[in-house]
Amino acid sequence: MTVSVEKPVAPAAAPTTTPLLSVRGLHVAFDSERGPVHAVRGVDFDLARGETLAIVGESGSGKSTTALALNRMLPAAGRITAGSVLLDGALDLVTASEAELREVRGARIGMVFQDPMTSLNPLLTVGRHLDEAMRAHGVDRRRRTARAAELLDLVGIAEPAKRLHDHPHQFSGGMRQRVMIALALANEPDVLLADEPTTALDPTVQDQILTLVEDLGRTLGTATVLITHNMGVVARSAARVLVLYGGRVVEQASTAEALGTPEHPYTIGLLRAVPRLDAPYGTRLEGIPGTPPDLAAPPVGCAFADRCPLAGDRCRTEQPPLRTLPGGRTVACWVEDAPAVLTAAGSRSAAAAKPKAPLAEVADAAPVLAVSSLGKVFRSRRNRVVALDDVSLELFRGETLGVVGESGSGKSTLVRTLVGVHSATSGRILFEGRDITRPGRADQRALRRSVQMVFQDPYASLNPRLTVGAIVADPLVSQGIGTPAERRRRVGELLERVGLDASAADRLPRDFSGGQRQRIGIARALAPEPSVLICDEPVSALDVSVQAQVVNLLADLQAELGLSMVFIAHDLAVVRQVSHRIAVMRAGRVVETGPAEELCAHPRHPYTQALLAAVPSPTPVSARAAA
Amino acid sequence: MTGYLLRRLPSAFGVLLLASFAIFLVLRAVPGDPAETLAGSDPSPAAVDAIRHDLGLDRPLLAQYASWLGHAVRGDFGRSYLIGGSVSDLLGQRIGNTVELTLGALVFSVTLGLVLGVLGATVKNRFGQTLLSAFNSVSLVVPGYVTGFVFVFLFAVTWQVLPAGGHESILADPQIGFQYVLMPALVLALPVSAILSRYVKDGIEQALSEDYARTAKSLGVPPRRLLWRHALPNALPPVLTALGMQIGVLLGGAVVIEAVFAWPGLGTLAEQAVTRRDYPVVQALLLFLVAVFVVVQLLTDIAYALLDPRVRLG
Repeated sequence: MTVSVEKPVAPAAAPTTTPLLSVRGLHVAFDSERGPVHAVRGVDFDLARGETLAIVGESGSGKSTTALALNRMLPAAGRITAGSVLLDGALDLVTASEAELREVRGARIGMVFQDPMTSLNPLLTVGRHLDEAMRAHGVDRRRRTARAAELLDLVGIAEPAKRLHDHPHQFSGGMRQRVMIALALANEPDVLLADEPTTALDPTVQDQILTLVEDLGRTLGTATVLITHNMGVVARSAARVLVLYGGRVVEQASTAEALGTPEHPYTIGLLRAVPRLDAPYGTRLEGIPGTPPDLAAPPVGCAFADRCPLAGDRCRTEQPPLRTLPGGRTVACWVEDAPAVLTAAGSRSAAAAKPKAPLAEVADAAPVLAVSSLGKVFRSRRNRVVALDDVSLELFRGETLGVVGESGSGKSTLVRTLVGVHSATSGRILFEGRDITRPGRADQRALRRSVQMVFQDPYASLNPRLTVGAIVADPLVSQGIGTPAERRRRVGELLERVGLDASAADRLPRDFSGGQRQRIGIARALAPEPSVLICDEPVSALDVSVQAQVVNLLADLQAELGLSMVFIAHDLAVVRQVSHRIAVMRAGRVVETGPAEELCAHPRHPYTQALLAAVPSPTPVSARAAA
Repeated sequence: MTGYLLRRLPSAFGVLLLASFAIFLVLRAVPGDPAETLAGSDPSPAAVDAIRHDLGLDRPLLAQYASWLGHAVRGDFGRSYLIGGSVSDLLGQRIGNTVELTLGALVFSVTLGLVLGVLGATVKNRFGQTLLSAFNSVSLVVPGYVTGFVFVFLFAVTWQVLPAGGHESILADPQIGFQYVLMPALVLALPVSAILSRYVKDGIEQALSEDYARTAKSLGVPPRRLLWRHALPNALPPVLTALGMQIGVLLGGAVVIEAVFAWPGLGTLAEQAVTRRDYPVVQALLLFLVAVFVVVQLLTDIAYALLDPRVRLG
């Protein structure tokens, strides 16, 4: 782990007169069919040398756009309409020439992006990637070759000299993200912009990558801007937090303050919506009602006013300025004691909230779905992959069985085998006592009616050309249930049941937000009155505030309809929130099963322990508050 | 890489063998009898039978095929029924010329396609874009014989800088040979280059919008290098596929263009042989075309594997 640091590194605590990066009044607009979309509307912040600043917010808050705008990496449709980004207090990156920017990119500001699978050029070796990065900044050939291996070693890739000759497809996702970090740090930049660097990764890999970024930041004195939607990641890695909403900073504070005693109603709402592994079992999640503002026609007043329980007339007519509170934290809200008011309101709603549906008559009932020694092997010309290995599970009536595991653990294969997309290689599947491992025609018809699925991607899983009504009625039509009039009535009922207006039936999916689409997907799954609902990562693509709403909806539906659910997710906190029992999968095997609360509190299998330990908690670490 | 090649070769031979059988059968199914044609007007049935026996046409089809194939693999494609002489010699004289024309057209179409495609992806002003797309549309839709006559009129008749037609071997005298091949090859290449440039342009635009291009940009890689070293290689695979298929268009187009420029190639030979049911000549010609195609497909696959390391695994 030796690395030559050529630039003098200012100690993080040293009072520098000019911040490394100073952003003032940044405005970014995107051209769209409906006119300009004002994605960023006046963002100010400073970044000191060696500091780690987190920018948090949900999709559409402007956090990624802000990051991309800093070194003018916006896509073609986007442009900076106002503001300045001063590097060292001297060079304004907003007005800098392309040549000046090229000197800054990579050399002064390095970037790490979200998806390591697509961020590396498939045709170039990892060595060539590193070589290109250094070559762009005039490092001579001999030094490039030597340093490339050094860099791979630095980010923890074994046998670096050998792996330089490998192509990206020969690395796993986590390893590729290490390569991305090596690239971003190749020229020892002063700033590292990391845009959701761990979102696409499994928790244990996320943990490794965050540790790496922290360590390197410390060793090299790099300042890091960490863009994330994950409060746990913030609590773990950042010293200071900037909360964005509707393209504006709504709150800026130290991590301990922002997560411990949030001031802005949005920050408070966001934190309440995050499922926690340490929350009392059975606590209902609180989502933030409503949807983010339409930034093609930005609101005159506070962007959050429409979703804010405390909003008054002034909030709707006048933009709140950033107020500086004691201790240097800032908040943009007209309500001065928002936390106190909200806490009072919050405790009332918590008292009114229903706990998770209790499990009735589990002991004596036979399981709805029973899987015994299920095995699935995929064979190709060259290899044989055991996707499921001796999996045995039971699902009882009215129960939610959570299935967690990292990518490649066999979760999706399990689901697909259950619904008959894949045929099992070995083992048995019993549905209500009938063997459906190799279902006959009649069994298949019955199964299609009784077992329904909710899919992960609410954007891809609804046919964009069908009306919502046609989508929800689809299972009824294809299974020949009801007359057209009956189906129409049923669709209206279902839409209302999932919290949408019955008039939604005449509109197209594109008119709805992600959360609303997922509600449509759920309505479709409920249409043929199934007894088992299989949810494959139903909330992974949603923001936390929306995720909470969908999770609550599923819990309510289960209580009302007596559904049995299989809930698959990679986020343990969410799974714990919705499940009665949890099964942990790894490499095609179920390594541990148990009641949700007990399994999370006292994991027995080392893998479950590792999985739990790797999930960063959104609670600020008190030790970090002192730093 | 060698392993990849070894996996690909058997199927290439398989295709060739199947094609040879299909060619043999299809020709026999076409109405018309070479023996009757050869026997002249109003022949006696005995004479026709004698000729048929002479040519081996009275033997069972499979036996005919087997003996033809047996000779073909040794380079002996039989004798022409009508023109006389060995088919190999007959084709040998012409193939070189057609290959020369096609290769010339290939070089032109690839060069033009790349240049126009890269320009299309990089020229941002509206006038330039309009000009490029107008050029491509015209190249694509105007038939070769029309462009050919226009070129002859301009370069050979009006300005008298190039010969109107005919052929001089480029190997014997590169300078003179080049003057002869320039016009027909360019005329043949234009439509193909328009298609290729489209693939190049789309491929580059696609590659530049990918995440890895953003990564390179964020590292300060200069735009020119981003284009040539990062985007272009990723744009090439579909271009290669298109090129492989366009080889057929070039060979087919050569027949017409040869007529326009009085180019002594396979085109004229093919025409004569087909109308007179000169089986051995037609068979050899078709087999040659199929072989060219198979080889081109094989080369395309190899080029794919060279370009993209992921393909070598498959």
